[in-house]
Parts: sequence; structure tokens; C-alpha cells
Amino acid sequence: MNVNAVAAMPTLPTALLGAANGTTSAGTAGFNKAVQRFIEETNKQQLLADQSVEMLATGQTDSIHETVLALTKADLSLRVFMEVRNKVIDAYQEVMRMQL
Amino acid sequence: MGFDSTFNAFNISSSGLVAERLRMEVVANNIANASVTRTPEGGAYRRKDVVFESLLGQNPFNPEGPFASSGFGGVAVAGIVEDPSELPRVFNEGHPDADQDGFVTMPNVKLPIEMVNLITATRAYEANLKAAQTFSDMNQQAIAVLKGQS
Repeated sequence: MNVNAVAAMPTLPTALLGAANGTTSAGTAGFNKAVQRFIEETNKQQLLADQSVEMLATGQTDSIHETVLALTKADLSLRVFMEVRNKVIDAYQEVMRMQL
Repeated sequence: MGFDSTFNAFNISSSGLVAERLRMEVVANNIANASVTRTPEGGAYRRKDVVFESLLGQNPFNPEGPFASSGFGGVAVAGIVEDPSELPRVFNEGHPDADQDGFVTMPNVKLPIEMVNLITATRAYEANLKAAQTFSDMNQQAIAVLKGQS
């Protein structure tokens, strides 16, 4: 599982938000931070799943179910993140479509 | 905080799975040793049983807080205990461990009971797995709400 892809993503929403209003007020900084933390949490679940798969493969652990549950957690957290990301991009596009 | 408390139900199910797996191992050990007359402690094998205890997590339940996690920690294995019931004596003159009367002290493992325990462990494992699976389904349904309205 490639987790670097997720780690590389924080630039995306930040760039979007920067483009959306040009300046960074206190409100957007807070939102940036929330998104950043969200990404970090999601990435953490991916890393934990990766680690547990590696531990099972190398024989450091013998419980299959813990690996399966770690993978499920990673899957769910990534799904939540993807849906939130879609919402953020939808909102951005909605703003860009606005008639001035 | 974070996904750890979001997915606490998974951690609880996981502890249940660990416990049932251990029960399975103990039952398997009992069956394997069902006719063992020599143990490191001396005498016949005594059947083992697992004792489970409930675990409470770090944060107590706080319905007012932003995170409505129960703080439950699932189940833990308190220990493996020996069955103190009487060891049956079977007449078997030719056995090397027979006493002067020709009786051999056999383990107090009863296969029907172990079979029932085996099925109990399997079903309990299944139930824990189902709980985890259902929790996963619940989350996916919640995510589907985000997906539905764009």
C-alpha cells in the first residue's frame, strides 16, 4: 500500500483555499488546520494498517483479525476523507461558478 | 481524539477476538492432552479454563463531551486456571504409570464438554467479528449520506 500519496496531499486543499480568497484570514487558517489534522489522522491510519500488514507478513504478530481491523479502519478513514474532500471541492466549484 | 476514538468499537471487538482465540487455544490444548498421564508438575494433566475480565478505557463516559465514545476497553484475559475437579482413575494394569492396584490416574478432560466449549468459542468469535463488520457497515452508510447529495 502506497501511503506517500496521502502524505503528499496536504498541498491540495491549502492551494484551493488560497486560490479561493487570495488572503488567509483567521477563519481559513483554522479551517486549513482542521483539514491538515484530518489528513494527518487519515495518514496515521494508513501507516498503522501498513505496519500491521508488514508485522503479519514478517511473523511479528500472529493475529490476523488485528490486521484486518487495522485495514478496515484505514479504509473507512480514507473513505470519510475522500467524501469530505469531494465536498470541499464541490463547494469551491460552486463559489467559482457564482455570477458576479 | 481522532480516529482512534471514532473506531473504538473496532478496538473492543478486537479484544473480544483476542480473548476467544485464546479460549480456542486452551480448548485445543485440553483436547490434545486428554490422555496425558505425565506433566512437568507430576501426575495427570488437569484441564485448563480461561477467566475473562471486563476492561474500562482511559476516559470515562462523558455524554457532554464532543466525543461520545463510551470509553469501554473491551475484554481482557484475567488468567488461565486449572480445573480442580477429581481426576478419574481407570483400571489399566499394563500402563507404565499404573499404581500397585493397576489403576491409572487420567486427566479430568471430558471431550463432550471440550467440544461444547469449542463451539462456544467459535460462535463467540463469529459474534465479535459480526459486531466489527456491522460497525463498518454503519460507518459506510453514514459516509454514503455525504456521497448522495452533491
